[in-house]
Amino acid sequence: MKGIVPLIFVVLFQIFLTFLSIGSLYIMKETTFILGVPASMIIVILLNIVSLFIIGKIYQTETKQKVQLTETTHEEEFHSLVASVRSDRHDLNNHLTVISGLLKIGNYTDTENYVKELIGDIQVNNQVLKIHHPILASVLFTKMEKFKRDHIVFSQNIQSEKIMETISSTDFIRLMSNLLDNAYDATMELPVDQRKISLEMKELHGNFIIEVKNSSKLKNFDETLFQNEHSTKPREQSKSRGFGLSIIREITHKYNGDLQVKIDEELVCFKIVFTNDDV
Amino acid sequence: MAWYSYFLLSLPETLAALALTFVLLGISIRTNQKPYLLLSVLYSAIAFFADQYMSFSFKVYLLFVVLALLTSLFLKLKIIQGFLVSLIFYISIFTFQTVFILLYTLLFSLDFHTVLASPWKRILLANATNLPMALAAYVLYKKNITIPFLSSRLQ
Repeated sequence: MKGIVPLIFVVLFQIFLTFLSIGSLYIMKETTFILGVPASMIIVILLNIVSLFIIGKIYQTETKQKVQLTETTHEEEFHSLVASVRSDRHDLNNHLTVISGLLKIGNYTDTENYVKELIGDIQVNNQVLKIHHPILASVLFTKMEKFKRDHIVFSQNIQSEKIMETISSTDFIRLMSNLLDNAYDATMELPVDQRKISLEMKELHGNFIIEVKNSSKLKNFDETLFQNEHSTKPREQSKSRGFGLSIIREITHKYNGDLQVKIDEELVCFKIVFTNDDV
Repeated sequence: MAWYSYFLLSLPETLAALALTFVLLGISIRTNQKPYLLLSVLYSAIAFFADQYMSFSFKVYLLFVVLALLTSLFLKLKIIQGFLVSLIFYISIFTFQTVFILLYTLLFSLDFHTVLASPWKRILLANATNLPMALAAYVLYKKNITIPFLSSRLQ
């Protein structure tokens, strides 16, 4: 952590000066006064102000680093989406040539299978391209690619993207990434045929709702899971994890949202409601 | 201060406080035996002379800087690391002296200024503080207890 060493020095120096004041003022009965105040006490007060300044700087640097990390992640996701769309466009001529050839020789069954396969491949892109907001699209694209790779059935229902106008991009990326990553981790513990994740974003009576449901082994959900370093994952897999749930709660609270977690029919459901006035 | 106070007061105090500082900061006394002894002998000599000619506050400020510079010189550390050693050294001394001297003066109804005036009483009281400091250094060394964040900065 940048700035922590000067802070430690300043704090240690304050302890040193306080002891010195005690020694010179009460034991040795000799000290230098400035306007009736012991000189060392004035230095301690000044150092207190310096400490506060350093703490402020550390906080600013930490926040800046957090934003930079989120922006870098988002940039990578966006480039990945653009590259995928370009690749689909580039391959289009080849696919049309194959379909044309199959039709020419009258092989309709193979044509149908080929088209079905093709639809499957570009389904992720098609779903994402329907989303208007680029940040939401790029976040979802990366996650959907990952879900597809690990045979997780993913369904999405984006009725409203208005939440993006009111929550900062950085916070939205952190919130959505953590919601979907947690869902991914939970489903990966299940056999392939039971892996399901759904995302719903809608506006209801002026409230913005984000709802993520996933299949999971978890039978009940208790409050301690929201504390830092707690994870829904087994202990051996969660060494560096466990901050996702607390980040979700932190962002929800930041925008005065309401976070509801329940387990219904073996599906873990995270429902976040942001009231329109509060956001 | 009488001349023998150097050997019976200044030197034992520096040896004990430096040992505690080294242990707290994870600096090996065994591998740094020579610099440790040289630093103790030289610093306590300067402290002994400073004690005779300077006021308490000025003496402490001066000795604080002197110790920082000597430490960085003998242990081949950066100046900032020398100041860190000096800070821990003084905080250790101040903590033990404040606690034990207050305790002894209260327990034995001693007048602090009478103690200061008598060289032998002063030596006795100082060593009754140095002993727990040396003992603390030994216990911390045996239990391998250091200040984690700071000790890693000096490795």
